[in-house]
Amino acid sequence: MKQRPQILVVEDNKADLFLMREAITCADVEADLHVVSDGESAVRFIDKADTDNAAPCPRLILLDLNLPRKTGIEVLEHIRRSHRCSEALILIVTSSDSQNDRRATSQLGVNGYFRKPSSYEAYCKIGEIVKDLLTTPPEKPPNGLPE
Amino acid sequence: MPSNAAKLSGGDNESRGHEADFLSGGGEMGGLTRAFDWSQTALGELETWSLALRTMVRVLLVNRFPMLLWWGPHYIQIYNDFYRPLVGAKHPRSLGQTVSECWPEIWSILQPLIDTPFKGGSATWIEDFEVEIHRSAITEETHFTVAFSPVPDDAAPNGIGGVLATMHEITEKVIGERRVRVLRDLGTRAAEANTAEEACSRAATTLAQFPKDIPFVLLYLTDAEGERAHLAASSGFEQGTGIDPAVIELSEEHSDKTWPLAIVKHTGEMQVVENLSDRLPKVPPGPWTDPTHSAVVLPIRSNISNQFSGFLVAGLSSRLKLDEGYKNFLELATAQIATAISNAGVPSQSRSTAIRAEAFTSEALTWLPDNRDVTSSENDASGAERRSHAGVGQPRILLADDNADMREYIRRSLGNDYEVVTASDGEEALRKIKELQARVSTHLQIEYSRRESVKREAALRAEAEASRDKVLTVLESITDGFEALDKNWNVTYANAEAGRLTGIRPEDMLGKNHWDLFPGAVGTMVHSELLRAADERVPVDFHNYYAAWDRWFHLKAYPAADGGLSVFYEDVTSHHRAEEERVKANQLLTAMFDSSIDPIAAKDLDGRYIAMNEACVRFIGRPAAELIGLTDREFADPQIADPIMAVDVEALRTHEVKHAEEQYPDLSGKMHWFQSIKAPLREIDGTVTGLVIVARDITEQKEVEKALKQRETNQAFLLQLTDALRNLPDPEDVVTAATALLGGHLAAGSVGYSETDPTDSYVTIIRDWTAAPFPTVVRTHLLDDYGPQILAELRAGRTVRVNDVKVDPQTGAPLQQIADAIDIQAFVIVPLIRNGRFASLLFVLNKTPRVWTKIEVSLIEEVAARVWASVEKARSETALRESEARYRAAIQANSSVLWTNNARGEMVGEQPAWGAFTGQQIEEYQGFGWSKAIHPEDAQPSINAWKEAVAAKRTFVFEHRVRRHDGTWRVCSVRAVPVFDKNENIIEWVGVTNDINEERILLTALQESEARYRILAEQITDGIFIAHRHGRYVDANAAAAAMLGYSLDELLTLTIPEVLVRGESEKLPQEFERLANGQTIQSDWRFRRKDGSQFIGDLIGRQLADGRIQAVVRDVTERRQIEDELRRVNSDLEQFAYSASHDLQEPLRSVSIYSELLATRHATGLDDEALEFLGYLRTGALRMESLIHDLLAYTQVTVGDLANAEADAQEALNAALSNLSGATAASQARVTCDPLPRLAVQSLHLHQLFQNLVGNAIKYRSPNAPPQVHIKAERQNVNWLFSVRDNGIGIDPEYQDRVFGLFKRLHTGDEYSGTGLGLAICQKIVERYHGRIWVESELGSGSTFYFLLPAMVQV
Repeated sequence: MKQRPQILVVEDNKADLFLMREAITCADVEADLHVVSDGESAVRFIDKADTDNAAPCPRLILLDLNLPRKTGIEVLEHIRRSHRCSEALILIVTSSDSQNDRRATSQLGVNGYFRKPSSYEAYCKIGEIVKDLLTTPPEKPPNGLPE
Repeated sequence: MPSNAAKLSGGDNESRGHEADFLSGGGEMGGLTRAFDWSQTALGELETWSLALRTMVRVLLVNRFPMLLWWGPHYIQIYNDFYRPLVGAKHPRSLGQTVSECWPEIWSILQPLIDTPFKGGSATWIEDFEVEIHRSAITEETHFTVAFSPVPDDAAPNGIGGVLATMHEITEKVIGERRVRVLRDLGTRAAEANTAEEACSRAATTLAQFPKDIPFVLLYLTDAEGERAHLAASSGFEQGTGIDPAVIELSEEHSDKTWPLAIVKHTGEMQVVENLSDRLPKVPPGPWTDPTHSAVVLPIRSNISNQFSGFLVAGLSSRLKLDEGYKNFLELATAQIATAISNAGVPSQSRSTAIRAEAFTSEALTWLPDNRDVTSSENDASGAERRSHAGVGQPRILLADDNADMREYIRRSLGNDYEVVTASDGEEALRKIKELQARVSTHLQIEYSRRESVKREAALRAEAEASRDKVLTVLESITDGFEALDKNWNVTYANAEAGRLTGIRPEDMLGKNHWDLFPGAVGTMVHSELLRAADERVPVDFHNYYAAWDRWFHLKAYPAADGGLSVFYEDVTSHHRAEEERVKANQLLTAMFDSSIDPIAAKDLDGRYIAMNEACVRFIGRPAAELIGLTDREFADPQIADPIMAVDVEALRTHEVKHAEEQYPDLSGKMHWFQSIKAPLREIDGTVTGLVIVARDITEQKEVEKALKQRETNQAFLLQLTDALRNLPDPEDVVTAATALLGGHLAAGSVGYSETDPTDSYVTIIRDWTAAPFPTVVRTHLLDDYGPQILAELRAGRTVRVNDVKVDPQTGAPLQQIADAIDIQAFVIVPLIRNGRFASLLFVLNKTPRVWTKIEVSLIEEVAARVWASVEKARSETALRESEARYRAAIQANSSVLWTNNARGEMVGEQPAWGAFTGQQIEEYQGFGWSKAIHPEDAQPSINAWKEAVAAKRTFVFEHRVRRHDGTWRVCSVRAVPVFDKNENIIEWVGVTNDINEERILLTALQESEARYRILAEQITDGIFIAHRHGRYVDANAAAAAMLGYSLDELLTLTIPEVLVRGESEKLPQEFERLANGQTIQSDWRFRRKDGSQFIGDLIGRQLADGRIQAVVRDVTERRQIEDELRRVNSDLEQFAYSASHDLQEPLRSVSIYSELLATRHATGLDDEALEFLGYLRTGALRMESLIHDLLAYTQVTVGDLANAEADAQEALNAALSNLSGATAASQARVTCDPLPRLAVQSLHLHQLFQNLVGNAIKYRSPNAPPQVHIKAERQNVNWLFSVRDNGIGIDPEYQDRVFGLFKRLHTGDEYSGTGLGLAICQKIVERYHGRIWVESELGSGSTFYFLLPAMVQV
């Protein structure tokens, strides 16, 4: 039996988390959702996956950049160093429109950049993006590692 | 600017570079000499040096011998690369110093040596000048002979410009001689020792006098068992510092840490001990500045083979290499000491026959009357002696004396009473003693039986006994060992010396068989010779080496009457050793002879070579064996050999040492010059048997001298040339004179000077000089005829020389034809290129092939340049003369007015010049009427001054304005002189009035311009500096001085780097280069004030036409601080903007989304009022979001780099419209535009401008009609003026200024939504580009927004 894909959501804002859950549910995405609310927890989650093969290894990570303790960029660097999770698909979900943030994340390799909108309808689009990423993953991981 | 600026301007570097060509190729010292600031010395700038000095310096710099020149009365030093090591640490300070400054420590020695040649005396020299030189791996001890010779200089007061020191190395000779002296002293002093210890101590004392060969010495003697060595003597160090262990164990297991005697004992070989500082607690200092580094240990051999009587430890000079010569020397020295130790205690008489002879001198022996028969039968004496034999009973006297007069004297005085037997030396005396002794033994017995009287017999016996005792006393006292042997080889007598020599007491020898006593001698030469003497009854005399004792003996044996032998023997070991030493010393001399680099040879009385050294053989290039026995005539041409042999003959005839300079060809036939010293070869007795010749190759010096002479000649020629050309006004005369002079000087066939046509195709020889039978070569021919190769050389400005037209590959067929036509076979062509084309070509032609020397060619080049310069000068002077003549004529025609007045100062009679100039008629200017033509303001002063001059009868000089005939006022200068008669009365005044109006105007203008600049420079607050490149400030304004806190005078003593903060001057070279390339530089520099405080100056620099640098400096310290502050603020703002975009928006989004969700999902549970409130909530959040967005945009305007910004306005508009597409569509707006330009603005900014302005136009549209917006751009100088015109509601003029304010809105959010930031952003953007934005509008009839932005800079 095929395993359900694992999704890790790194988000500290409960309001946003609620909207993301709804959007993913609305889009009929078949997946297990794990949620951590700060950068440090996200790093621990990745480390756990590396040390324990039974622990879940995320196929997709929804990553906010503006996080308590460790920033999203630091988490992203950690993911890219992980041996089990380094190939995870990454979708940045942020309110930042900064060019600097876009440059920094794209250098580390991300599969999408979703700017948090100000309307419910626009927010729901994130569900479709997640579904697309899981069903038709990009041919090559963005950082050029072999599949 | 002030005049001192003008004086200092003009790069002095340039002229120096040109003048100092004589230093090129002079090696390192050439470079240093060029760089040296001679102006600080008595010699003055390089350019002012006399010809002799330059020539001498040139010779010195290119010479390969060490040379030093002292020039001028202060003896200022210049020296070459090869001399440099001799100056040591004084270099480079020593260059340009006076002798007394440089060498105060030896000035007292040097002064007379330099003074003598400098004051006109002859050359002086130092025979042996010791110097330490570092030229190979070690610093060496070297010795030189230094000669100080005068250098003539016509420019010097007494004809002598300075003194030249040249040096010849004599190191090998000096050290070799010193070593021979060491060996000789060792031999004579140590040999006198009586004990081995004394020998050692004498040797150590002797060696202490030669520290340069053996800096320290230790002598160890081995004990009897050969297990230990005891220190016997030492010298050359401080005792008890651990260098000199008193006892050293010789077994290898106890090998001493200090000196490896055990190893030497084991190997028997010399041992070198390196790195003394590692072994010894204190290294002996030695004679040099650094301590002795290494030493050697040598075994001292004893008489007994394979045994050592001791060891020599000798320090090695740190200035000498341990080469074969040094090793040989050390071994010889050790051998000397070995001999001295072996001989110690051997009585002195055994060492010298001379001493022994002395012992016999005047020793007379009396003897009993003898039987006549016996004496007569054996004696081969003279008749007189024979007669004396006849006297019976006459006593005999044996007299041994080497003085013949003494013998004769005694014989005469005693002859009547005694029979006197004489011997002239000890040996003869001994022989006679032996004879007498033999007779004693036989004849005494006969006498006994024949005596009748017992008493007489008894008396005789008693006398015989007494005489026998006397004989024995003699025998005991003689210095040789003596043994009497009977016929059975038994010893019947041995003297004390025999006992000492053999080591057996004489009484122990008596009665023993000789061969039993000395078994080692059986079977040797001693054995066979003594047998021969005994058998054949003949005396034998021989030298023999007695191996058992390792000693040499001189033996003499005489057959005795009893059938036995009398044997005398003497230890001659030291003779033999000395002989061996002599042979070794000879070898040393031979080695020195052979290693000399100067050829050395010896000839016999007939001039035949009897010996020659390696250098000699190498030079002649044939083996010595082929040359020995030949004279110079037999292997050299007579013209070479004859003068040489003539000197030889002279030296042999006079028996004097002769010096000569001689020529000899080397292997390749090249002639060499030698300085030869020919010394008669004397035998010991003083007879001359030949010559020793030492020759030094001085070819190089000769060549330098020759070149020098040639240069002098050439220089003299050039002076002659310059004199001849100086005053020739006609260019053709110049050429004629120059070609004739050059042709004569070079003895050439023909010399021609030619010029080319403007296209450089033809060459025309304008004048030539030819030797008598030579045809003129004046003609025109094609340059191409020279052939491509020669032409290329000429075009490159290089001289072409052809030694032989027929064989030189450069000459092609056309040139060959020309050469044939004018019958020449060699030539030189010197091209002069000016402005990229031929200025002239100088030809020197020769009828026969000729090797043009370098010096000739450079002379021709020099002449070519001078002739051209003279021709050009003559031409320009001719032109000048012509134009001057025209000028004068013009002046006379126009402005110079000659007039005469009478003695009273009245103008009398006709004055045509005055009339013509002023237009006055004759009646108008008569008397003082002329003053009417003077400007009214000047008239009265003129008349007053005039009257005063007339009264005082002195020259009148004045300036006033004169009305010219055309009515204009001309400034004129007037000068009038009185003409006197014999009685000093004035006859008349002759005056000249010159129109100087134009000059005056120009001068005034110049003064005004200068003054204006001055005023400007003084008034402006920027500092203005003018400086020489790398040099001092030469001018500055008051602001410049004030800025730096100096007075103007102080500032002008400083150099550029002195007012800069340390480290800033590193930028100077690069900036100077940019300036030199004509660039203007502008950058910030950190300056240092007099009080040490600093400021930042914005400096604009450029190079002026005269090469000086002008800098305008503005103190921008405050501005830079403000700018820094601004940058910090901007950076804070950027940080704020970033957080605003995230942190402020985040909660707003939640508010708006969740108020939306509440309204949609829970609408049923809410009443209308709640829903309305939710709407406000959501609208408020959205509005807050857009406010933040706009505020962010507003702050972002100031962020980002504007350099290289470039945007296409059309694209920016399109982007803005696409963002506004929703609003445009909704309002049915029509947006049009004219073609829009590209401009130097960030694309995003332009986009934002259009979006806000077009957006406003649509937003504030008229309710009556769909919006129409038109955008256009017009060029205004360096800007573009944009306009955005709409048909909207318009703006009340009252509020038109306010619309650009922050958060300023004219309408409520209900009427028109907006943040109030749109136009503020627009204004901010435009202002960022130093542009302007404004609006023109009337309420209700649309608005037009205008803004100015910078256009692209035209490249």
